[in-house]
Amino acid sequence: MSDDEMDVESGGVKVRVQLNSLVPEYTVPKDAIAVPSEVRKSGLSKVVNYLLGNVEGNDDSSDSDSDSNDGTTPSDRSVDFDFLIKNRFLRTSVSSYMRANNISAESVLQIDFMPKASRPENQGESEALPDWVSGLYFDTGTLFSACYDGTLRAMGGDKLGITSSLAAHSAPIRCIGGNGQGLLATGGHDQQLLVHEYLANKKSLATAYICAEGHTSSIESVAWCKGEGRLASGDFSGRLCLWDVAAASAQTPSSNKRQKISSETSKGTSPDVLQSIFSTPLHTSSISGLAWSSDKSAMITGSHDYSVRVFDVEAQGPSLTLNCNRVVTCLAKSFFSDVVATGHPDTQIKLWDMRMKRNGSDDSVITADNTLRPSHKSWISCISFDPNKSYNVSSASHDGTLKTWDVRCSLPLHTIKGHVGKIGRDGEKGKALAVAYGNDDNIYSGGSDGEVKRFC
Amino acid sequence: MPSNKKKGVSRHVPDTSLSVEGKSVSKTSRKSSKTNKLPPPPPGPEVDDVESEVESEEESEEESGGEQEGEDSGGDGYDSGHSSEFYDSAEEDDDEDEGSDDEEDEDEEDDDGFEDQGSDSDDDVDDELEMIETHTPPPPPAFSKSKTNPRSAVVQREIEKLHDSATVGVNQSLLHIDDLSSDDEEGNNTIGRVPLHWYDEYDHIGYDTSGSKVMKGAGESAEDGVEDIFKSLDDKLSASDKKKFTIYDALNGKEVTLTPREIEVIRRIQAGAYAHPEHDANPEYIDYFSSKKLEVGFNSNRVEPKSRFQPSKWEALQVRRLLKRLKDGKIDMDYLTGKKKSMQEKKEPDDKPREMWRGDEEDELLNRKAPTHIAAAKVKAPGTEESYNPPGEYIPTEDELKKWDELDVEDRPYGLLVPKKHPNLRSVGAYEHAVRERFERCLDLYLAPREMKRRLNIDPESLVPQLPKARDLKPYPTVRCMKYVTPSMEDGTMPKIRALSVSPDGQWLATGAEDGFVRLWEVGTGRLLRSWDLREKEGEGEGAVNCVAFNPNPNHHVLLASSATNCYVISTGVGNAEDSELTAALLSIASSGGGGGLSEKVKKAVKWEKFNRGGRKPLSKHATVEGVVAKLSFNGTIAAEGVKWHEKGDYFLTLTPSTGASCVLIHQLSKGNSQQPFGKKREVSAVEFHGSKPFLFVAGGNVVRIYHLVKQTMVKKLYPNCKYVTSMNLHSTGDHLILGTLDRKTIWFDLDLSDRPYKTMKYHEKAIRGVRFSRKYPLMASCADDGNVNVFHSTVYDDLMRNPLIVPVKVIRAHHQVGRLGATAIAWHPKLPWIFTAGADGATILWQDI
Repeated sequence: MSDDEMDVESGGVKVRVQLNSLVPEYTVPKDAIAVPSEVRKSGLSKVVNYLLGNVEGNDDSSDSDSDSNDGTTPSDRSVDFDFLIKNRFLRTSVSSYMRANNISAESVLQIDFMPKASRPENQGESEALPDWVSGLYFDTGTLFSACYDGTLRAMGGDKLGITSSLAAHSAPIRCIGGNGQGLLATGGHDQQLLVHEYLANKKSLATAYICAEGHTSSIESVAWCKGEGRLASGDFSGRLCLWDVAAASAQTPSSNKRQKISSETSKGTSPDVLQSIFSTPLHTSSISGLAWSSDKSAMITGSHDYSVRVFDVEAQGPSLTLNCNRVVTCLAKSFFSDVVATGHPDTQIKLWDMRMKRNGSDDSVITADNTLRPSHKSWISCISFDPNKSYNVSSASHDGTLKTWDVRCSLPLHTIKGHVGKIGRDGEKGKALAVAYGNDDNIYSGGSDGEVKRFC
Repeated sequence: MPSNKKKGVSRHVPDTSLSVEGKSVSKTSRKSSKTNKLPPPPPGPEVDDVESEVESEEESEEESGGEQEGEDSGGDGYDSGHSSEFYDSAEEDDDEDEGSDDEEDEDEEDDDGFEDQGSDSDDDVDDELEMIETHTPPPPPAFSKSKTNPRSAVVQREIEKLHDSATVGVNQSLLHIDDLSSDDEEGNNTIGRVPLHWYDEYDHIGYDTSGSKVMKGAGESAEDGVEDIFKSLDDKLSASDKKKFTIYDALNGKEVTLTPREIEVIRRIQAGAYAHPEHDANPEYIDYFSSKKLEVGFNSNRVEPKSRFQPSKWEALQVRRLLKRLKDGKIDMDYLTGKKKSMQEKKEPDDKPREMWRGDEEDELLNRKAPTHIAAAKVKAPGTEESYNPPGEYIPTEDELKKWDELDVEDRPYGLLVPKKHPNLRSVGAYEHAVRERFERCLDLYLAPREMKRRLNIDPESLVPQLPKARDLKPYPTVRCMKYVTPSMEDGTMPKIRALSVSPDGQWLATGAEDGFVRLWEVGTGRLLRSWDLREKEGEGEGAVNCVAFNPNPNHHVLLASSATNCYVISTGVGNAEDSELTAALLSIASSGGGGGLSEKVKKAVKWEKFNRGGRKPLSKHATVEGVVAKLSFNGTIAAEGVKWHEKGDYFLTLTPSTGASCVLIHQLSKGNSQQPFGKKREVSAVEFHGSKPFLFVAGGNVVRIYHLVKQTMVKKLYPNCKYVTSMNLHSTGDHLILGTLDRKTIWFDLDLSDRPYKTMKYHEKAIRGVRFSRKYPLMASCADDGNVNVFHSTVYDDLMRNPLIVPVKVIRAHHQVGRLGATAIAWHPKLPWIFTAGADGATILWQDI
């Protein structure tokens, strides 16, 4: 049925494709259909829309007239689709894809499709915070933002109103992390790592523990072991520390070791001092990214000394060192696998598949993937994986933009000009410094303009 | 013997039936028939054959009458060698022949039958005699007779015929056939070797094999009387012919008639020709070898004769002779080598004076007094403008002519010539300036000095050193990475950044600006964290910050900054617990107003003061002090590069160029103390500490002096040959020094090499403001007022034999010029191949490698 019509629609070389829907609500017949070889994703999208009956008749000029006359009924129903061939996004024409991959024009091309990811729209922003937002963490409906003024703020609601704030640090906060169970850790230039407790019902933030000696420089990265009370942190001198918060909470807090951290903590209770399990100089320069591996037995660290290391907690030593030729400025791990993304000052984002070490015998097989092409204009400041969708990554850069990526595509899906607005008298563009996914598919970002923005 | 006789008889019979003429013919025919049986002897070995015949004859003689020989002709014949034996025996035979000749005359008439016998019986013993006779000249009386004899005319004719056909082949009848069968010729000698006259008295001659006497005239004549009669008749008929060539063989008692061949031989011998008629004296010359060189064929592969490989005996003899003469002193080597013609000649002693210092011929050429000839410059070849009918564009217009008139003659395009159009060649007049031009050329040639210019024909590309490609020398900074935005001043302009320093761990950046602020930045984010106002009164007044310097010791979080006449000690307050204690200890004395104990001289120059400004909460929780803690005030202004830390982070230098002797001061921060190393006033533009050794580098005027601080002496002087050193930096190895100068030069000193620059580079368009080595990477950079930062790869080798490798890798157009200033300061990232640049345009930029 459709074959004939497609033939009529456009001449030239045809290729036979079989369209499979990845989403159950858009199912099309499994028959192979012939489409012009020069068709791109927009053309294929039309085809699918036609097959689904979202569009009445062909998208010819006469019909488009009638569409406009009719109103918006057909265009409302038509959906933009994205197409995948062999789990890679189709970004070129079908013919050039086949040429590039040496696929015979005779064969039937299997194309999967799914609705195109919608462009994240600005869903609102917080009130202007007094300083740069250096870190964001989203936990069960609450967004925590770490600021360069040393204050930790909890935000909630559609308007991102500040529900509570805690002036935890005397110097800029450089990193924030949470265990998902109400505990947050922040570290900053004051070389202190603090563990805060957020009580969702009271919406109150309070510093629970002060991580004592261990770090010798400003703390640059922090990571909680999911579901456990273990906390890892890295500082600028390359020292990695491990703290066990759960064990400390189990103990009875000893009063003689208590310490007042600052005058601003006006809460009645004083935080406990936490001793590090161990502290080791893992890197020669700043540990800028830190993540726990999926099996919780190792940490993956990225550093300014050009390396990505896997630190074995049991052995208390690095089990693997990967050279990445560039300074690592940020590191994030997928929630679903041991895939790690690193950001670099030279606008690159690299993907590392740490699973290969487990499966393969040779350690050296792990190399940086050049899946994600350089797209940012400046230093990559933060990377975040989507906790709900395994393929989705978003990145923040000093050029003020956020980019959302699908790891199946080398080009970014969308670019969000989140923090490019001019700041200050000097007209300098803002920098996006932090990006975080919310559970509700929202993307939160913070930057040097002092705003936390939500995109959906 | 009987058989022989029978033979002779049997042969004789047919002969008698024939006429004399026919006889001779039959004889020749028989001989020719014999020639068919035997091949003619080759012409070459003829003589040998004769010899062999003679030898064989002698042998037969030996055999037959060896005992009597001695009595006959003396024993010498036998005892001597073969040749002499041959001659002897020949003489002997001659004697015999002479003897027999005498008898021949007697028996001429009765012994006719002998002649056939003698000539025909080839097997006969007597034939050998016949052979000898052929060699020996016949008896002269007989031959002389023949000349006068009328019958001899026939012979004469025959001889002439033979003579005409003297060459071989024609006269076969004369050919001697049976030369080789001499063996058969023995046997007729019946008496042995006894003189014949012994038998004169007897009727017999010798004995035969059975012992019976052989009668004289035995055989035919004896047996057959009838035949004798016939013979005598025949003889009468042919006496004239026959008798002439018939000789009597007395030995055998028979007459022998000479055969035509024998006659011919005799005739030839008489004529002085080769005896044998078959011998070809002048054979036709066949040129086998000499005309053509045979490259191929049978002979080409011929084995060389043995003589070729054997040393010449004659030459050996000559050498022996010469050696002997040399040994005896009759000749010497000069004579042998031809230096003197004869041994009498004497060498004249060279009495001429010898020039001891004379050089080679080439040197002499160079040392000639006269200057080398330089050819006169060529006259310019006539061009189109001198044509009688030049194209229009050569004809000057009125305006041009006016302009030319104003110009000097030399500046005019064609000199004195004014191109003109002529209708034809005929109408061209004499050139009015000919004499003047000629005169001027003569003057030029006479007065103007000429110089030979040597033009080197060298490919300029070959002079460029082979440098590695820049892309092979990565990493080096290329791309802008971060910008540190300095807040603009009240009037909206950006303050010029004058100084730049990076903390040893690479986390912090300090800048000093024209507005009097020292700012502390976070390198990784470009965040301005602290700013300290160093102006005299906080918030107002002038006081540009000239210089900032982080303490190179990573445990000391102290920053030095200089503004106008003061130097400030700033605690950055970023250290950890341990470092903060160290820093506090370091600053304790300084922050309390200095340690005192300064000498009077130094007290005049510098004043330590307690100073407290800033004092905000330190960034680090552990730090106790933050902000400006001390101030050193000087009499003079501190230079742009005027504050330098020692590597250890306790001592530092200040440079105040205008204060005479106290221009360079060494301060110790931990003690709050100062020293004045120099007592004399001197011009100083840059100072530097050596990293590991107690050396102080002081650049001033035209010289860089290196002082030993412990010994308090000057160690070395470097001569950079430049105007004014604006910046100086020492390589981390301490062996290399670079200078940046006002006259745009970057000068590299290899301190181990020489006191002259290893390399002087001039690539900036304006004065250089700063030169810096990277601590970690083999990189070097310079910034200049043209706003550019030039990055060099600069590998330094431990090997003293290898010179540093300097390769320009990148020109960063970092800043734009504001006023006369461009890029004012640079600093390398301590751990990465990144560079910070600051400019007069107020920007501070970090450049990264990609």
